[in-house]
Amino acid sequence: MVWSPKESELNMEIFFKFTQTRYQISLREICARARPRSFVAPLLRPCPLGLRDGLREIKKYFHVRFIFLFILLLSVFGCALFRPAVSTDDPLLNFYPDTPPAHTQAALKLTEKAREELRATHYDVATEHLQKALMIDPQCPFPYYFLAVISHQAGDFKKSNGFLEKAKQLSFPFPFWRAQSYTLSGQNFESLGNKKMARMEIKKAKEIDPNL
Amino acid sequence: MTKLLKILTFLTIPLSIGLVIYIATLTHLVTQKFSGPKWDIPSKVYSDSLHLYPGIDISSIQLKERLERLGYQQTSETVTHSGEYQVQHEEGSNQILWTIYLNDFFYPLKNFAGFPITLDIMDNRIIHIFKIFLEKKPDQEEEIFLVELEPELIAEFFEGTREDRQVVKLQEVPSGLLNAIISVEDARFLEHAGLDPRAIFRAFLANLKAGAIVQGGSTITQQLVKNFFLTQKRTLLRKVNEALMSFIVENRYSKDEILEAYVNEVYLGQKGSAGIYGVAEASLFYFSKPLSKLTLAECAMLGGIIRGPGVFSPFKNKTLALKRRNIVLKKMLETNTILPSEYEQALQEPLRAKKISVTSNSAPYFVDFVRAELLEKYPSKVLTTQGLKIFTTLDMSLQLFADEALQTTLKQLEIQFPSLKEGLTPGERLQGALIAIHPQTGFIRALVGGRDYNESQFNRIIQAHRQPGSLFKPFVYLTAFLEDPKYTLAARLSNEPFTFTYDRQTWEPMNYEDKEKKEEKKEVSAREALERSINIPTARLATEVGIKKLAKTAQKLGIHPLPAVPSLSLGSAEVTPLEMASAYSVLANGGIRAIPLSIKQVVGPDGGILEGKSIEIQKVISPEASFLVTYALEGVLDQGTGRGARLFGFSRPAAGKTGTTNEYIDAWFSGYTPDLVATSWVGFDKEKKVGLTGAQAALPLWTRFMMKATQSKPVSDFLVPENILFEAIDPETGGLSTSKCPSSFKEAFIKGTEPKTVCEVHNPKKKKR
Repeated sequence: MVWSPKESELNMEIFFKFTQTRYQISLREICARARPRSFVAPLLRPCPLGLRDGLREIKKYFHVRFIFLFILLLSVFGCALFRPAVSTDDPLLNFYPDTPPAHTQAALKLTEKAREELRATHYDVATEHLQKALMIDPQCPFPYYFLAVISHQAGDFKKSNGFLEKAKQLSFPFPFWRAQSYTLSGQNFESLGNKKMARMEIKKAKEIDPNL
Repeated sequence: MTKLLKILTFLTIPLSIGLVIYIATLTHLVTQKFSGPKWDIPSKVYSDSLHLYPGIDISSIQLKERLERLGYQQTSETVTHSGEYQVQHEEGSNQILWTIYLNDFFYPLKNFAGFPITLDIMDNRIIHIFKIFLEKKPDQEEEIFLVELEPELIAEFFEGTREDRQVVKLQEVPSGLLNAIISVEDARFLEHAGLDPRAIFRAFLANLKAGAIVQGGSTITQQLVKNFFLTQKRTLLRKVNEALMSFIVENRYSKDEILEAYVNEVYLGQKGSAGIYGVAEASLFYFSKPLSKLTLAECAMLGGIIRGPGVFSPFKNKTLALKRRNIVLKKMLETNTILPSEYEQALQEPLRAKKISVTSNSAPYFVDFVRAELLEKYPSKVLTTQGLKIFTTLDMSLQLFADEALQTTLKQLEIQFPSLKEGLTPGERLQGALIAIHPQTGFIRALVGGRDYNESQFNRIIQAHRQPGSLFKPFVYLTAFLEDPKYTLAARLSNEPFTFTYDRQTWEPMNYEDKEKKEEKKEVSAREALERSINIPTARLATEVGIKKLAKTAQKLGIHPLPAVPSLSLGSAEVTPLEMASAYSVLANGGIRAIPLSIKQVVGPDGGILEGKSIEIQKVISPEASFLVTYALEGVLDQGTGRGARLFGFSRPAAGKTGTTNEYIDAWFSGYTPDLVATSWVGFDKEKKVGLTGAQAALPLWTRFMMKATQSKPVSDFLVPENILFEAIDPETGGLSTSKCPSSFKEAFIKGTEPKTVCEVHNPKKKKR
């Protein structure tokens, strides 16, 4: 194993952070309790405290190393397995990998306001916000999606599908929302009595986002 | 004597009966007026509001001009009142701070209470927007992401004389204003019964002393009666009627009802051709604020103006107005309606005079269009009397750009080609029209239906049915891409003349005469045919695909049903510019059609929404076919008949098509960026030859408009659909290009329709990739 001081520093940081939070003990105490042996020793070398006495004390607590590794592994797998699912309630800005341009940000903020109004069943106000958002950034898919939601809730499934067509076109960079658009479109077709199209849309949604 | 008594008795009876009948008639008049709607309130037409957010360029949206049009006043002092703004330049930097105290505005779904904001501007772009808390915490500010500037009033619907009035309930009028009015106009208003003998006697003495009429003894009730029912003539009969009717009014109605009618009826000034009536309208006119926000000094000023709006208006003479205000305050103090401390404080308040912003109908053709649409649902009487508020989709800045572009272009054409002016009366002048639509919403953003509305009210955007010529060609290619996968932009089409026979008729399309007398190719690609607007290959393609299918496609795009004749492919069927703009919107919006909208909401006199129109969109053609046409039409601007736009300096991603009809009667251009579609037309109303192509006459108009209209918008490219791929092809053969081909370019194809073989001319051995 090639020794990399940077890695060790990083590992130490993680180690301290985890152990600190887990056992509610101070950094000094951790250094004092850890017991380095063979491969653990280099890991402990850049202890930020630089306390020789503390390093000596670490040897006494050899098992801490295993606890640390166990917590680390558990956290990694836990994060992967139990990562909170993406939801339609998540802030829209979170779906952008980079900060979007100013006009998109303004449109997103208006869309967020519209979502709040939607939750309060103020459909007229929500529609007004979404139309304004469209005027500011007509290439933003979210206002179309939520306009479709409003039409869907009003029972105007055909109109809802009109908005969804545009949402589908524009939401290519946002697979989650694209899948949502296809799902809603499927529900609209179902309500319109077009079972075949409904199945196709749902199938497409699952192709885009298998977690659906 | 007895005889005389008899005669008198004989005369008294019919006179009494006559008087009773007369009073009954007057009573009927009074009750009729008071019980029904008292005023005809014009309906107001508003433009769309403007959104300010970080990143926007303030010069391109013409913020200063917009604020001026909205009646905001620039001030060098700290902004403290609504309707004021201040511009501060940071020394040694490009930073500018705009502080604007926003006006209150009653939007259809919310009542917006104005507040001060600061726009932090660097190099003309808004960097931050802060809301300022002037009253509570002057140093505190909160960053906000979006601000809405209220819509502009663009027109009013009225009959006869224009009276701007907002009717309010008495409870909505601040007590300070009521006290001011009563103090100066009729101090004994609550005590008399319509006529005030004391006031009449006092006025009589004053007038006698001055030797002229310097004071009136009319009560508020008398003034109301005079304004409501009588003329301004000073005759004895009018005075008698005034007195009688005042008694009737006082007898039948409470003081509150009389005062409420008075504060809504009273004349308070003049804005251009419109009279300002009622205190609520006057409050907005003079102070840009609602009644509830008036200060005591402002109440006194309004009360003082009543005596002579032409004399005491702060717009006309600030010194005289200030003097008058202080007299009113003094009167209020004398009548114990204000405290001495309030009086002193009000005296210290400076009088803020501002410029009058007169509403001029800058969009008369658009307003006519809106009116025509409203008349389908509301009787004309309702529009002119009920005080409706009509919120439209018009972008006032774009409208002004469109009008300016039209005027400039037509003038330039007349200078460049003097024959266009020769021997014509003003009514026969060269005309033009332009419409701009937001393709994603269908909102009509600008509409100019002609050169001069006063000269001709004929709205060429919706009423002129003209042949579109080559403007129609993209629909032929669109139909081909939709119907048969063998048709691609690289498909080779024959350019050799042909004769098409149908219904025992023959049709032989011809190409336009090439001025440069270039030898015509026998075969061209679909792209080249569209870019160079070549007739024969387009007509041949239409006959191959099917004319009926072409007519159906046009209908799907929003054009009225057209006769399925072969010449349709070259634009022989008459359409309106609105229809063409609407059809091109579908191309700009990836095959999705948004129904064109001019009205967003109609709000009733009580503030309730009578009608709300929301966006309605529908997929009508495949996004892939739509994209192919757009991609080719981008070529029209880059190297085809529309390249003049690029030479003019319009460099954004855009697509468009020129149109010229037979005998050069109509010149068209329809083009779009991803976010804005505009169609321009130039021609004569009568079927007279313009003698210019679409590229010569209509393209400059379109370009002038689009350059300004898109200035504030971020540059964006057309969305490439999922099923589109690009291949490098040889332009000569349409095959896949290799390094041996002298030139190549990237062509768009719907997946599966891309060429499979390489260019055979330059790579004779290679057949397949």
